[in-house]
Amino acid sequence: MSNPAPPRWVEPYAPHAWTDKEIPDYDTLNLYLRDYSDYLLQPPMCKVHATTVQAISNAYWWQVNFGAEDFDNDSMWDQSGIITIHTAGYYVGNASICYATGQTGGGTGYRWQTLYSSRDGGDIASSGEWAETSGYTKRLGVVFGPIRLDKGNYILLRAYQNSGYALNTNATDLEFASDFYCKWIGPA
Amino acid sequence: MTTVTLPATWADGDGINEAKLNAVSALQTWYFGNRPMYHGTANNNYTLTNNAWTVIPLCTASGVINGIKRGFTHTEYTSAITATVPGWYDFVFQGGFQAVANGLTGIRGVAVVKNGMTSGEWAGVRLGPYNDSATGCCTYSGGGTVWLNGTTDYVELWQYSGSSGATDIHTAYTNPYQKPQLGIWWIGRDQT
Repeated sequence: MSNPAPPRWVEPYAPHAWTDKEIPDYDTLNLYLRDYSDYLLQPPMCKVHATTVQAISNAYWWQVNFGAEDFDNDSMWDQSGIITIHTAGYYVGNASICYATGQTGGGTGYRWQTLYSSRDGGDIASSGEWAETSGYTKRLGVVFGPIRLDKGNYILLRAYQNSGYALNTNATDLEFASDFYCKWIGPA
Repeated sequence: MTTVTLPATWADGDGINEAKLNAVSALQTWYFGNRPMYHGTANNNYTLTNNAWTVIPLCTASGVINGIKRGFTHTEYTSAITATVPGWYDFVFQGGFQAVANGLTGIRGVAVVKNGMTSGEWAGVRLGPYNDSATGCCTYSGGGTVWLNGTTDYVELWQYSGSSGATDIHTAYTNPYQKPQLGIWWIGRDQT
């Protein structure tokens, strides 16, 4: 089933003040009662996940790419790793990256993932841990929000590891696929 | 305490009137423009006493990335974040730890605690092992949901470092993404 587009959003939101004896017309009722109520039920939100293995080079920040969307009702995903904001406001969400098991260098060094915001011009949240002493599937998750994003701003997930070798992500199953989710929770 | 506007109720025989329509609009306005939210970060380094939980002061002042305070009472560079609106809140948190690179092993933790550590109300906890065999920082992040009464209930961010040696560790501060931070936002009123 295709993802429905979000209802019309008028910025800045200014609620209509009904006056005594006013006879509301259908357009006013639809806009201020139906559209905005509907908006509460499906605010802009996007969830994407990786479908292919991605090599993360040693000691270098890489943009994490995604191959499929679970839902994206505001056309935010660019078919790679960029999530562009079309509705300004405050957003919350989470993201994760999962490394494949049994790789050379999988047990040394440390691993980071960060959330990059073009509005802030840098990384704003992260999850980073020391690697374990044996190489196995390791998933790091980062949560964020509320963060303010304006129309045209974008956010992306970046990965870093310094095991001494390139490490592959794991994309063989949704359980192990890197992913990204964000949701609008209010206007800026 | 701020009271959330309730939806209007039509009774048998009621027609459309301005009071009920405005009540509906007011409720929508609440969701759209006035949902309480807070995001603060630690804007200094703080010493984490070994084998103990340490409360982390937070800041939302100008210049702090994503700093926002709406519907909460909070004094800059203090820890308690008090909601002025009753309801359920979602939150996310991150703890940041500087590396000591001296081979210490142990546990690091980060938590959101409601109404002080002695209350025992752990809203969200993230614990993990560490092995400082190389130079670098680490962070832990998590999330949860908590009920706040809109008057006295508050939340705080805490970090824990339990090392094999009696060495204090500091929170990470150098890079924005390594800073301890807490985001919390209102998601709904009580159902009573």
